[in-house]
Amino acid sequence: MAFALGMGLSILAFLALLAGAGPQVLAGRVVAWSVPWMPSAGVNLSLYIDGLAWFFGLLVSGIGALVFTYASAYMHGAERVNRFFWYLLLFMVSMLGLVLSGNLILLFVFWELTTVSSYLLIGFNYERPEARAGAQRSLVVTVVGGLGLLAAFVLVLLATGSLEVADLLADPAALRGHPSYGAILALLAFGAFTKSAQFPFHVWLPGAMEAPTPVSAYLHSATMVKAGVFLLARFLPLLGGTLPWLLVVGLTGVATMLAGAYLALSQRNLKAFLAYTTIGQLGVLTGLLGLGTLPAVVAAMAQTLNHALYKGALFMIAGNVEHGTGTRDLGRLGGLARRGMPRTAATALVVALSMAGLPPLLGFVSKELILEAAFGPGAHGWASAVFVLGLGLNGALNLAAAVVLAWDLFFRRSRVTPPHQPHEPGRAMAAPPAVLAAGVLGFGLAPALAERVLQPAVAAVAARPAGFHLELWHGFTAELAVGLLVIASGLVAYRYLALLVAPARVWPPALQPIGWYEALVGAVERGTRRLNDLVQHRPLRHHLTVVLLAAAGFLWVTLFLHWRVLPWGQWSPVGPEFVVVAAVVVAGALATTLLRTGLGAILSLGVVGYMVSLMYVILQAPDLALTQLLIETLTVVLFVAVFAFLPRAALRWAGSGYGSRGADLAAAGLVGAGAAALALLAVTEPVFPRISDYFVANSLELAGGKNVVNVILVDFRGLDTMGEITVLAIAAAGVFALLRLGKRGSQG
Amino acid sequence: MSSPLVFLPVLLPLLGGIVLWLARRSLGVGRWGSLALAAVTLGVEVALLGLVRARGVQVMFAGGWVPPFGITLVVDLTSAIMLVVSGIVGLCVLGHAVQTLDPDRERHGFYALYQFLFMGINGAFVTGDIFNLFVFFEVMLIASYALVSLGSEPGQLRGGVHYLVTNLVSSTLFVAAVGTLYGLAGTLNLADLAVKVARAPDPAVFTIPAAVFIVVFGVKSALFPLYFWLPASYPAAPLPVTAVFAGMLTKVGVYAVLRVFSLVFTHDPGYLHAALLVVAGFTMLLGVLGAVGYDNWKRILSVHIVSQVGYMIMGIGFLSVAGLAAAIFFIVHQILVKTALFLIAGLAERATGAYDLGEMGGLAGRYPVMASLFMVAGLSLAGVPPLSGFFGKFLLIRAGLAQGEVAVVAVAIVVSFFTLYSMMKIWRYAFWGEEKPAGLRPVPAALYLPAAALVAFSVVLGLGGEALLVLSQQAAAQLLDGTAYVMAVLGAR
Repeated sequence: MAFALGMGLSILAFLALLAGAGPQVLAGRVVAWSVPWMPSAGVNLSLYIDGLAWFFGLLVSGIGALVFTYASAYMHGAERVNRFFWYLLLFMVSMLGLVLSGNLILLFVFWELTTVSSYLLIGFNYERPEARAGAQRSLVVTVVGGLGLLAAFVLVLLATGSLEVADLLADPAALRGHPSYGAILALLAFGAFTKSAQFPFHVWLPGAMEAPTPVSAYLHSATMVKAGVFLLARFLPLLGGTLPWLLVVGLTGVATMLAGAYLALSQRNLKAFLAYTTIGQLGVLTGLLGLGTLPAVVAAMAQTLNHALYKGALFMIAGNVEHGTGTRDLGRLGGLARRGMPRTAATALVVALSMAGLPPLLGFVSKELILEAAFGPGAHGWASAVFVLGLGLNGALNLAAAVVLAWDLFFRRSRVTPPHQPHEPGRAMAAPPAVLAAGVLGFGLAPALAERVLQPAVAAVAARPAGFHLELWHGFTAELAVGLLVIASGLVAYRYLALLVAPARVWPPALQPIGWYEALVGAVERGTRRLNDLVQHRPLRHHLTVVLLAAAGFLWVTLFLHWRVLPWGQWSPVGPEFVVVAAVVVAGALATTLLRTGLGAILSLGVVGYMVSLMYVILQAPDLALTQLLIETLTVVLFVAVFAFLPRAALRWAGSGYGSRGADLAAAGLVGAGAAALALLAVTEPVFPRISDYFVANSLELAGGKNVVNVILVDFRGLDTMGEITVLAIAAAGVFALLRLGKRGSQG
Repeated sequence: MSSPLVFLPVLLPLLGGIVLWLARRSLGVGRWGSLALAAVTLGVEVALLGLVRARGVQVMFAGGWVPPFGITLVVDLTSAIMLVVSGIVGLCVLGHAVQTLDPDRERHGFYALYQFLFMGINGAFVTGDIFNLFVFFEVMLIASYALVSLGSEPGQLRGGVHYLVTNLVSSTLFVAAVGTLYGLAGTLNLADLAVKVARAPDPAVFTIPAAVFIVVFGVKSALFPLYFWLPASYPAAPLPVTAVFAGMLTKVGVYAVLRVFSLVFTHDPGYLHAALLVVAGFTMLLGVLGAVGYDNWKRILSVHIVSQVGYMIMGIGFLSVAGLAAAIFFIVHQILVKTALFLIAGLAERATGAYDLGEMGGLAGRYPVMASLFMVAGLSLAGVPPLSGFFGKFLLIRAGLAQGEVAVVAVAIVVSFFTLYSMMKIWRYAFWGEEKPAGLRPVPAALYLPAAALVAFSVVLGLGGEALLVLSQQAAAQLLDGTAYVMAVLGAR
């Protein structure tokens, strides 16, 4: 069911975009629609289809339909296949939602859903530890980035008062001049970089190759990783055109295009090889958007189209190769064109040529545009040099990679033997990459068609009607010369490939971003365990010490800061007999802490209690004194009775365990002094008259009782008493149940 | 408006608890009786929320004594929301308990103690008197202690003692704080206290008892550095007990902070609420790091409670309509989702007989519904859209950044990453991997119901969160303004 739904939905979305929104968008208008979702939070279900959204929407739905077709055969007979298509469907819908969203929070909703569905897809074969680890890594990196993005969107909301894309684009200068501009740019770029696998956040993408191959073709080459690029393009009119933008976005792109293209060549696994070239191309796109000039935007959009088509095809071809040979180890693959996979080889040749940027394919068109952007106006002097160098080197390395993919894999004579006798895949797996190959060929031969699709997107990103013209043949220009130089360098790189990649193979993992990631995660796991041992796995008395010290500490800080307002020194005098009793209380309390036996401590605590009741006598409160005497007597008796059942060791002084006896004494003193300070405050002259005056005045007249305390307990505040009685009853019930059940438990 | 309905959320569990205690030998009466009682209580609470929305704050003067002399029960929007959530949790957890508890515990007063617990919880939500709040805290404490220990397994008693002793210390501090406050203000009625603190010639003196109240409620709601009792005791209890504790108990502490620090102690936010924000930051961070460091389902979730409480306190610390509204939204979300996660842990235990992640694996294959429920609840807890947790987080971040509280918001954002990390740890070990243990047991469909209902709430509150958001904003405005509350209590004179 999920398959049919996904297939139908992707085709429907593609047609709706093409036929429904197409005429409007091609005419330069925006299709927008909005219903409130959580209007109180500024969140609406808004659709905003401008050229950019339209272009990406077509890619997502169009390639989506091909991937569903491909997957129907690829996943045939696999376990949990229905679940697979649900995940893939969730992903496709999220991705479509992401590019068509007209509200930033809605966009974020879909952004996170692509993360989640990608996680589920990478971990689809969850019995494999590599799949679980890869899924985890992708989730960690992209979620961290997503949080940055959320913060950026909240800052945008606070800066502009709106989350609606339409509102933001209507006043493009608002953010650039805002004090939060730097923070917004940094956070947003961080989000985009993690999603689009920019250096050094690319660590998750190679691990994502654990996903079934249709997923790799879709999420990790054509769509999800482009979400970051989409976001940068969306915000280019709002945040771009500044030096910080150029530095942050542009240079990250350059670093990524070099790292990705270079590291790709050192890979031995076909899918990992493709994954790293994807990273390199994402770097190219990011770099171009970082440059942000009109030619750069044109080049970025053209290359987005080119890359989505050829990379999607290459992944499907990789799947077909693995399907046909039983391996994706480059060391065991070669000469497949003559060994039973000629049709696959033909498709591969076309897309690899487009990847290499050779005519007459779309790749050639976009490569010319890229070089034009690098040389073109608007780039600062040094920036131009950096971009020419970066893009040129990337082009050369990428060409070498394309040669490996087409020549080594399919056409070069080879003596290695794959596990199975190579054979062609069925129609459902052969057709989708062929369609994509036809795409790069068709767009290359008829650049006007590509121009038509890209025009609205470029206009949206450049925020003005963009006059540009795509051609296959530009004439003898400087770009052509540089392009030839790039091709030559690429061939040299291919010739000396082993030498070139040798450093990458011996470079220690600890010095790679993957090593950093593992080290970080390991440190978190170990650190949190240590933390729990340090603070949590402690006996009760340690924790009590912390609670009491925190209470006393906070109280004393507060007292100290408010010393001047406290009504100190307004107390009535006390007689000498009171002082004597108080002294005994203090001595008893000290003895309780100093005595080493439990019995001694309890007895001295009893002394304290009896002295307190003596104080009540002095203060002429016989009822309180009597109550206190009863409680103290009962407590001591109970303690002594219980002691008879306890082992001797339990009765020895153990202390808080945090320090010496002196430290414990100091802590106890601090707590005690705090309690004393509170008591003094409580008995001071009140700021307002107390309600007890009312009780005394009205107890007989209104409540008919002479004993005010009794009347308070049973009438004025009878609810309290009801509660306390309930407490006693529950305690009794609890003890009863505990004892009865405890006995049964020991019998059975 | 005066209405006796206000007392029912306390009275029903009390009377029902007594009956259930007397009839504890009968499993039928215990199970069906307590379920019916919980359903009726929930109905009353929903009606009360409707009443408060339609007619404003509802009060009842206990014994007919006018405030501030007698005890006043007050239900404003915040209280009503808390009551409804309490009712939902009460019913859902009970639905799990009647299917999983051992008959020994059932026959020894579990259902009665459960109702007494809710008497204390609901009492804390409806009382308008600070000493009465103490009393209901005690009811809650003693009932929960009995529930933690009932069954007397070795870990249970150790955890129970840890729980009881720490909370008794906090009770002592509570009495000291109430005594000091009464000594200074001469009253215990919250509305009256609000008036007195606002009218005092130099309200700074009230900062002293306020500081002690932060510690008192801090122990109850498990704030840094007062939370260590929670991870030490919660995992030891039987699952339904842990689930209801996780959902409700700490939130009663949070509710107390919310009430007292938005109604009474608003005179010195530069000190008191700033302190709350600092504490909130550390609570969020240490709670989540503690959770990451465990490999046991129940433990991870237990320590997580601490972290999530930090978010709520952060919202309260902002002391703005946006902040308080976000806090209320977050509290509702959190109670439902946290309880759901515990109930799902119970489902996994039914299947595997374990809570240790090392002893289970591959559950996604044979229990797809369980896996889906966990995925949704776990993502919601971590604040992944479009679930309720996301909007709670979003509203908190927005409220904080709007007030320039960058540091604590940054902590909140980092913490939400680690939350997801620890949820995915459960996912990765329990639901992914090779299937184990060997003898997986079937999980009856009816046992899924309570957890599924709670998860459904999270989805509804995410996709249709506008209603709750508007309600939270109204509740927050009512809290911060205070006039409606004070007028309802004192204006009746």
